[in-house]
Amino acid sequence: MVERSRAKKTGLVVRYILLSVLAVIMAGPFLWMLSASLQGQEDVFRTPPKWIPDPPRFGNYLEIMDRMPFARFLLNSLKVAGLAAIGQVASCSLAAYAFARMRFRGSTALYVVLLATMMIPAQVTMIPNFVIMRFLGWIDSHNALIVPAFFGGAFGTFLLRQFFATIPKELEDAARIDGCGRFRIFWQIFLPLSKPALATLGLFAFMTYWGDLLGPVIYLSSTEKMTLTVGLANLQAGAMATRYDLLMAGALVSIVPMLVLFVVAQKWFVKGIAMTGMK
Amino acid sequence: MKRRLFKAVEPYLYLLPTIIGLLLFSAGSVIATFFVSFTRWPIVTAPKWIGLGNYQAIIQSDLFWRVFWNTLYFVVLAVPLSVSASLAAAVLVNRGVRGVRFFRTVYFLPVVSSMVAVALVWSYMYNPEYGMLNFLLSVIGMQGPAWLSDARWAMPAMVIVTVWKGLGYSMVIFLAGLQNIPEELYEAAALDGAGPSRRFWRVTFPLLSPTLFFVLVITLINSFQVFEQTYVLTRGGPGNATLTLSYHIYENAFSFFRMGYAAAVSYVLFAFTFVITLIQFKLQHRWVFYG
Amino acid sequence: MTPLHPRRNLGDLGHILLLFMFGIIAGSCGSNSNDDDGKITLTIFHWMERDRALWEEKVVAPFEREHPNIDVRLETAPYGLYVSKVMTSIASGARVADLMFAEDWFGQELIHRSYARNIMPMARRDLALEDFFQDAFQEWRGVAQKPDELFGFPTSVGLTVLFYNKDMFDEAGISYPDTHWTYEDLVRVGKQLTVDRDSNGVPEQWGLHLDVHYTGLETVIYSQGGRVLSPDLSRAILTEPATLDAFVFVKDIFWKYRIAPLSTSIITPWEPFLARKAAMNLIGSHGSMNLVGTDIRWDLAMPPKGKDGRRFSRRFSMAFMIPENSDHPDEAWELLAWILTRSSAGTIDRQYLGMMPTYLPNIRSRAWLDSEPRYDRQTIVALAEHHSLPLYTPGWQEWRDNTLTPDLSRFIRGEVPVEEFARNAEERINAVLERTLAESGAEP
Repeated sequence: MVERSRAKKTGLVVRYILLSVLAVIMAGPFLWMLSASLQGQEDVFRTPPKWIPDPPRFGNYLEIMDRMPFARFLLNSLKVAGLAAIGQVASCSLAAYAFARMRFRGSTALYVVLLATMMIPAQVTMIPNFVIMRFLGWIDSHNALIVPAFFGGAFGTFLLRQFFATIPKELEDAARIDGCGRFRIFWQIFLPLSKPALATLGLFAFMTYWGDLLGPVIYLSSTEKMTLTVGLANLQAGAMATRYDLLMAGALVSIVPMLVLFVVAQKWFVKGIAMTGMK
Repeated sequence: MKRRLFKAVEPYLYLLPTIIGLLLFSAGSVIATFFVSFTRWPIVTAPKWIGLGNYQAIIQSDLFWRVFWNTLYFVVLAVPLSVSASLAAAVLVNRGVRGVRFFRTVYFLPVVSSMVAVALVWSYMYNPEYGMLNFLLSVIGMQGPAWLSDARWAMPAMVIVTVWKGLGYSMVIFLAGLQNIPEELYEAAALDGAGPSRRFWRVTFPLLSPTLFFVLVITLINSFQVFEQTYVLTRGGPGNATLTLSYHIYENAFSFFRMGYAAAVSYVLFAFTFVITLIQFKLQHRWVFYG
Repeated sequence: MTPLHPRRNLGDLGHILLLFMFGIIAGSCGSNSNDDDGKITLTIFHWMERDRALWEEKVVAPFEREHPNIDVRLETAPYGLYVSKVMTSIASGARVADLMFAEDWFGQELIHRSYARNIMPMARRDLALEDFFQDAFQEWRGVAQKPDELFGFPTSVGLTVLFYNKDMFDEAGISYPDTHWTYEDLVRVGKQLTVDRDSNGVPEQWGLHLDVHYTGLETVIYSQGGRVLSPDLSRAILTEPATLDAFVFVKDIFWKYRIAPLSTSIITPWEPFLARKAAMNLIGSHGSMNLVGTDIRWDLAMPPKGKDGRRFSRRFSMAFMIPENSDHPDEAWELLAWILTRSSAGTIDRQYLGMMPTYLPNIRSRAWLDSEPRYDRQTIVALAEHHSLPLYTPGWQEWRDNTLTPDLSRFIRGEVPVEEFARNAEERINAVLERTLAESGAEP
């Protein structure tokens, strides 16, 4: 008994050591970024690095917010990313359910085509996509960014399908016997049991749309519609010069909403199935 | 009768948004690109049909093959490293110890940062004379290479940045998968006398295999399309050592005004990725357990 | 598990969801109405979002006041994505703008594909051309260089100059670079300013920083008597003895004389100078913007003289173009002329530190010469007027970025001997040039 708990303790210590080492590796560069964001242009590259900025230039952050309609851009980014995330979760979960649990003609072909769309780099599809958006009249409108998200996506469908496929058939059969229709099963069994996967997809979709720079630049032209990433890109790079201190500050500002979302999404990372008693 | 009809149509209703999306948004542009690959199109002027001309140029181009091998090199280094590191991290932060939520958030930090800022930080760390990496190496008595300026080390350097930045991403996916594994199975295995390694291979791995499959496929597809890292870290240098397919495509399309050629290279990339993914799907029945 | 209700097919929620999605696509299919109540809207496309307020105040408001039937709209994109956005719009047939700002290399590609309107007739009619730095017209004409043609009106010109850190020179007691400097002086002073205090083989301070991208080295190569292109810019010639010597000299800077660091970051070619690691920086003058807001005491001087007293500095210019498909070319020209003569001092010149306005009265004015931050603006003017040369051809990016820069990089790192490098590079550049010249329909 004693050896068991001693082994457990060393196991714990080892685990904490590993966790901490990894944390240092992951977060170390951010400490430098934080420090650089509070320094001036010439201090960013000082070697040895000046870890504690002296004096700390909080003005960098104010400058960022001053030099663009910050609140407006922030709201736009939240709107685009938020709606797009909802759209992705909704459309991909429906599609994933069909692929995972229904048999129908053309299911393989459709799945293949869907996945294939992930395999072409965005650089070449940019122009045809622009043509389509122009045709739909969505140039200089958030629609170009948000609406396609409501119409499926390869990544999300693939992710959710893998999760749906692992949900035990017995649950479904039991529900069928009780007289449930497909949608009811989807709504009351699959979705609740896939909370971690849904949270992941929502989080990733939000991240993708939040950090998207190319989309807003290409499709939008009015300043009031621009997103935060565009505002930051405009701010720190002149034609041939970059304000590295502002770049750092801007990058950190951009991270905050997504970190908040991540922490919130953690709540959904709960056990999916309580196995015992499931009969 | 009506119910029969509905049952037949039902799957397509669920897939309606996706189908519309494919028709309207994604598949259309993919097909358009296919046709563009048979043209010479300087973008500013109209495209001109040249049949297989671009594909011929690809086969004859030394640069293309260099770029292809570069990309393959990147994939071979990045995918195993990335997947295993993320999996290890996910297992570490899965459950049990206090503060996992904090560690999860820290590991996720690189994922949500802009690549430009990350690149700046890392190129600073990679500086041969003053960078943190070589400084740490010198502490243990080793002399670090010139990293991003050294043709032999530039690609590994890029891989390191990629793995570092992407760790949290796959980690989260693995975490989601790990939640589906019931606690009871671990307890049962422990009672049977299985150590942590045994528990991992007998319980975790099989039940995680659908997620692992997903991560493998996605990481592979994304690695073949590596672009941002090249663009912000090296621009393909030094001396084309880190020129990857996606960057080559971008250069040709938007710097050299060779959109047709870029489309053709995209399709070669696509074909290759497609075949590899197909093989993965075919092989999945051997090791992926859907329960 | 909650008790499940008896059979339902799709469920109300399912219906609502699908309706929602259709609603979205239907509701968003609106037509973007173009307001045209008798007024003309001109769009300026530029990357100066940072200075929007300035442009609104100095250009849009006064111009609109004087032209009540014209509305001016400023549209911007971040610099890094500017070209992508323009090309995407062009490719899809959309109108980009009435006035588009472009750098010379990009302008050249557009000009070779007949994208821009010839504004020479209007310029001759409305402007006193002798008031402008007409040398810069060269890169805004086609390959044929017809004097009746001008496809973009240059507003600012930058050159490769020698930046230097005054503090580091003062510390070492060395006098600043001047117009008498030769490359020997550069090497000599570079050695004096390269300091390895702890003798570990790695200097803490370098005398010089030299960007190994081909563009950065062009000035050095040409000053040394070498050249890369034939005089008519139709062929690459890298194997002449003078050129080979020039390449070897560049390599020597890093290996033999050891006055410049070889490894520099691609994304921050200004890093060594900004970090006070390099006392001098031979680089484009338009990079002065990087020094704004720092405490570095700097100034710039002409690049050193090469063999036979020859001096060469690579020129870089930016201009406004009027696309052929603009709906209001005459009004666009009016706006352009207005910007050039009435406001450039307040807008363009203020934005581009290190660049010289092409409007000569501005160059001669004390307002420009003495404006903050102070630096040797006269040097830029003198350089531009006597020693500058652009070297663009169709497909310039391709043979520079795809071929010459990587090959040059390999040579400088010692992986290839000079003759082999020069021969291979020449062959490959000519292959590219052949193709791009033919495609642009240029008659050599």
